Amino acid sequence: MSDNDHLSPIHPGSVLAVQPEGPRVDGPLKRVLTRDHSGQIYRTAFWGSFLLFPTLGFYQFWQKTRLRSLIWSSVELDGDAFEYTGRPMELLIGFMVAMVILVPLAALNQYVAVFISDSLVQTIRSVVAALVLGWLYGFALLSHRRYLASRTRWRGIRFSQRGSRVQSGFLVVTYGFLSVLSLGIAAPYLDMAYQRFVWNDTWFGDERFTFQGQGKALIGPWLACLLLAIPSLGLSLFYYSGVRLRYLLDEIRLGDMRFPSAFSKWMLFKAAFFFALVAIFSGVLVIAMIGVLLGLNSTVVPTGMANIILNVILVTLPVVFYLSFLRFCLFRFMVVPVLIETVRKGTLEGMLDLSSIGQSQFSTGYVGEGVASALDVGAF
Amino acid sequence: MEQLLTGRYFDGRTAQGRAVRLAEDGICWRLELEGQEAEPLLWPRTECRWRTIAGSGHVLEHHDDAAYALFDRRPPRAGRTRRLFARASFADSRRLIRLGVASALALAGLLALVHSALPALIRRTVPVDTEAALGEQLLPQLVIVLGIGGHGRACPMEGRLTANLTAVVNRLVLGTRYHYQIDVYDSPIANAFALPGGHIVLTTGLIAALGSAPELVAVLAHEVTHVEKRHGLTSMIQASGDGALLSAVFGNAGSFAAQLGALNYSRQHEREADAGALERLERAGYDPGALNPALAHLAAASRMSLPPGLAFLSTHPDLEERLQATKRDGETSYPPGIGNVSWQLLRALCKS
Repeated sequence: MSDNDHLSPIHPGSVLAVQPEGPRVDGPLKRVLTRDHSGQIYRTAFWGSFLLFPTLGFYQFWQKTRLRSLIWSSVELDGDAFEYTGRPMELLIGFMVAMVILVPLAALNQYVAVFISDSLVQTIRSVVAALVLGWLYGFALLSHRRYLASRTRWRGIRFSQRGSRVQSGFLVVTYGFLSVLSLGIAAPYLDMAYQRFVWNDTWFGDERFTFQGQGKALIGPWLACLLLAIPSLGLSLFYYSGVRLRYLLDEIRLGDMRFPSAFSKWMLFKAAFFFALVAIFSGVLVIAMIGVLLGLNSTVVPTGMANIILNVILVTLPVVFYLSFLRFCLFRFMVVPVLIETVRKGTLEGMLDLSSIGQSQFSTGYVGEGVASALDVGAF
Repeated sequence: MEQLLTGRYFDGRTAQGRAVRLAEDGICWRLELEGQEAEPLLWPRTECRWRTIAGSGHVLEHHDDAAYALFDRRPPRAGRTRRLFARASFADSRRLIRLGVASALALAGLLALVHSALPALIRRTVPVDTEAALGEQLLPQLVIVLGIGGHGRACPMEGRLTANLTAVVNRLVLGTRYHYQIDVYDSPIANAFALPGGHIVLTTGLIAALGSAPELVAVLAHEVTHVEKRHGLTSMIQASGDGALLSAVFGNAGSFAAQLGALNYSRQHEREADAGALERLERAGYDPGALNPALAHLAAASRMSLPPGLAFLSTHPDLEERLQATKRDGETSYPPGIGNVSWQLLRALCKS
């Protein structure tokens, strides 16, 4: 008798709605809840950021896994939290596999860029490098989503991201080219076309998500954002990101269920503004501190090799700490608050028959994001 | 039978969670599901693993089943399952380990290729003009390093001094394809640098540290050997490969670090340059015995300029070996190469 025989089949007809047996109800049915793991998240972000340099960057795979686990488990739906089941070794090995592919490409590009001076060769190299990088970026975007989806489960049912990564690469190159041709004006249309490609192949178990978002819904805010980009020093892009995120959540459906969130459209703008303030203020402090330390050094050890070595140390260490601190601030003031607020203000509208949903049969793969990790696709 | 924990059970086939009680039953974990009339589940312990998921809790998984149970804590005798081979009974772990080993080997091979075989191959194909242009690209970085502490300017040299130094170098590299240029920079760092393409940079710190003009000729012989053997170019090609890898891990800072690495030579390069310098000095009729004291004076100058606690930084591990290899006995007298007037002019550079 196999172990599966011990399991009794459970198909209780559970419905994620107020009235399992009742008629469809429009409007909010149940709030998504958040579990407060923010203390653990911030501690992981803080210590992890400072551990990156001493571990030559390799701690990032452990930090990412822990952060994702904590963030995923912060979201609770109908009494059960989401689970992130990825492992650091998967990310590390995925990264190594990506390196095997990327190092020869990067070395070839470096060789041609540095050692061949012919201008025609350089032009061809630039075009080919941009196309390859764009294609890799598109490939990596879908790899990243595929890995995250396959390592996310709720009540034992896995998510999955299907669709061709090769096609994703070509779409990103094509849409990027068209976006440049239109001087950026067509960006929302192309963005939504790519989101349709992605979301219409995202699954929860054997239930497919659908997305019918259109660029015309975002063109107004986008044009305003472009006009205000220079006077607002680029911060208008964050307002647009807020508008875009709300629109995305409004349009994503699983069965008949929607997931709108009523967070303020200014949320991302405010977070970015505060992050920029902290970054600039702490940057000025660090520069002032370096100046004082260099001044002290020139008084204590005026000349010689000792002066030079101490100067290098006094400049390098504060800069390394500053970069680590910025990385932490990115989590503390942008990534985590935005995610938590999005979930906190989120609602479920419509009805989803859970009894009809079975496990995903799509392969989970066994290595991490690979190219996505190497190209730093995704904030965490 | 001792009941250990209560948690949530998911069958892995439907989106349904159930309360579960965990107990030990001999060699098995016994899972009693709430509201289930059938027999409880018995999972042999050897076929299970415990995983801790931050924020979620502790997960008990069975190796050929999508079902799992989630608990707030582990039972006291759950056992350590974090060892690599304990996980290897799971198919995904076996594949992961195999791929990990394969990719580590492939990456190591690739790094060896980028770091050794490829530079050796590429350096033969780069024209001298391109090499010289690349060398000049490194000069600003070198000047930054030399310039820390308010130094770093090039010392103006009289025409006869330049002619003397050029004549010495030309005698050391008869029939060369490179066009050599020699500059002295004001810096307390006692060192000499050979940029790819034939630009040799000496420092006032170096000239002050050396005991005589023949020692400077020996240093020049060492530097021209770096140029002739294309050591600088090789380092640059290696730095390109390293930069690609480091920038993937650290971003642009990694690439910059790799470029700085292009300013350094490997021990192998240094040994080759020492051996080449001795040959060139003998062939040109200069004193090969001057290389040994030149190295010793340079090492002493580096040590003296460091505070006591940092002295270890200047002690090149294979210096003793290099000193031993460059030792020459003999009574033969050689021309100094650089005349006394030029030597005094050199020592006075950037002093005013």
